[in-house]
Amino acid sequence: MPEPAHHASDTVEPTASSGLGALVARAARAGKGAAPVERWNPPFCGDLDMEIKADGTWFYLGTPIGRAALVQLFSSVLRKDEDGKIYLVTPVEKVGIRVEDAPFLAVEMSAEGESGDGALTFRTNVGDVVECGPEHPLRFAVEPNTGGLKPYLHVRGRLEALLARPVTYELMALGEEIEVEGRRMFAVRSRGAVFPVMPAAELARLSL
Amino acid sequence: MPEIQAAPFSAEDFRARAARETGPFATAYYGDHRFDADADSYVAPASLRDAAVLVPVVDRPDAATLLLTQRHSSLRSHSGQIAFPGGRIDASDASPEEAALREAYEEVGLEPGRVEVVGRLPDYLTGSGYRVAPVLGVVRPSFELTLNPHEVEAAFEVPLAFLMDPANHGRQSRMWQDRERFFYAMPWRERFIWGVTAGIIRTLYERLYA
Repeated sequence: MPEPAHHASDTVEPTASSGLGALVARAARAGKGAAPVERWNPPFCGDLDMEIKADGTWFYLGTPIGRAALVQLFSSVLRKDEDGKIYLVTPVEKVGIRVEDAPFLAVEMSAEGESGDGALTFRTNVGDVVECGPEHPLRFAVEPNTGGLKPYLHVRGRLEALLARPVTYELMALGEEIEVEGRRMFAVRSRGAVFPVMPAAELARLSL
Repeated sequence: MPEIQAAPFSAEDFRARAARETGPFATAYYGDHRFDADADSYVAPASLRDAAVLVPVVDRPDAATLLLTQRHSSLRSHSGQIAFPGGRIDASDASPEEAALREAYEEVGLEPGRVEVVGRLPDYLTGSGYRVAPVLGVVRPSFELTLNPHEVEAAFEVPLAFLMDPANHGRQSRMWQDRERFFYAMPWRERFIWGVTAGIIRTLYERLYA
C-alpha cells in the first residue's frame, strides 16, 4: 500500500472517540456478518406484527424491543425479496415484517484518506460496518413533501441504510463539484466511485 | 426494562428473566445452523419433526440448578447424549408446554404439578431435523425421580451459575458427513454436554442472561 501523503499542517491527532478504529470498536457485530439468508429458500409463513420505524426503532406487537441483542439478532436475518417486501428468514421459514423507511439507519461515518482515493465507512444502528464504494453504493432520494435530501447506503442483498440527519450533514460537507457525463454535479466519492447527489446548479436549492 | 432484583442465578431471578421474553417463539431463528461457521450449507429436511423440551430450573435454596438427563445408549437418535427431558409433540398434546411436561413425567417421573411453566425460548432447529420448542420451567423441591430405564440412563443437576457463565461455553468441531461441524460444548465433571443441548443452553444464556 502506498504511503499516504503527509501534510503536517492539517494532521489531526486521533482521539479515542474518533476515527475508523473507534467506529469499528463501537460496532457490536463488526466483521461477524449476517446469516446466509440469500441461500435459504424457505416457504412464506405469514406476516409478523413487527415494524422497523424510520428512526431505526424496532416494534413487536406494538411495543418497542428494548434489548439491543434481540434487535441485532432479528436484523441479522433480514432479507428484501424481488417483491419489495422485507422478511425475517430462517432455514425453514420466512415471515413478513413492516418497514417504515429503510431497515437500517447509518448512525456514524468515518472518512479516511484523501478525498480522491479515500473511503467512507459507515456504522449502522444494529452494528454493521459498511465501507462505501462500488460494492456498497450511495443513492440519494428527495423527499417529495419537504424537498429534503435522503441518502441511502447499500448494506447487503437489497437492504439499505438511511443516513441519519447528522451523518447526512457530515457527508454533504465532503461533497465536491465533479464533471459526470458532461454535467457539473455535486457528488461524493469513496473507494474510487463517484456518487452524484444532484446537479451543481440545483445545489442552491438544496434543503437538508 | 424493569430491573431484576432477585439474587443472581436464583430460581426467582430466572422467573423474572423468563417473563421478559416476548417472542416471537414459533420462529426458528436459533438452531445448530446459527452456531456453525458453515451454516449456509444447512439444508432443511423435507419435513421437520416438532418436539418440545423442558428446561427445568430446580429451585434449590443455595443456588438454582438445571436438571439434565443422559439418554439411554440404545436409543435411535442422540443416544448416550446429555439432554433435556422432552421429545416429539404428539397429536394429543395441546401445546409444546403440555408435550414437555408429559415427556418429563414419562422419562424421569417428574410430576407436572411440581413444575411451574415460566416461559418459552424461540424454537431451536436441530441439524437432525427437529424443530424444538424449549419450555422454561421452575421445579419445586423436594421430588423423587423415577427414571424410565428404556430412555434415560441418569438424571443429574448442574448449577445454573456454571451453565450461564460464557467462560464455560467452549466451541468445538468435528468432521461429520464430509465437513467440519461447529458446536458448543460444556464439560461438567464427568458429563460432556454438547450439541443440541449445549446449543439450547447457549440460547438460554443469549436470550436471558447476556
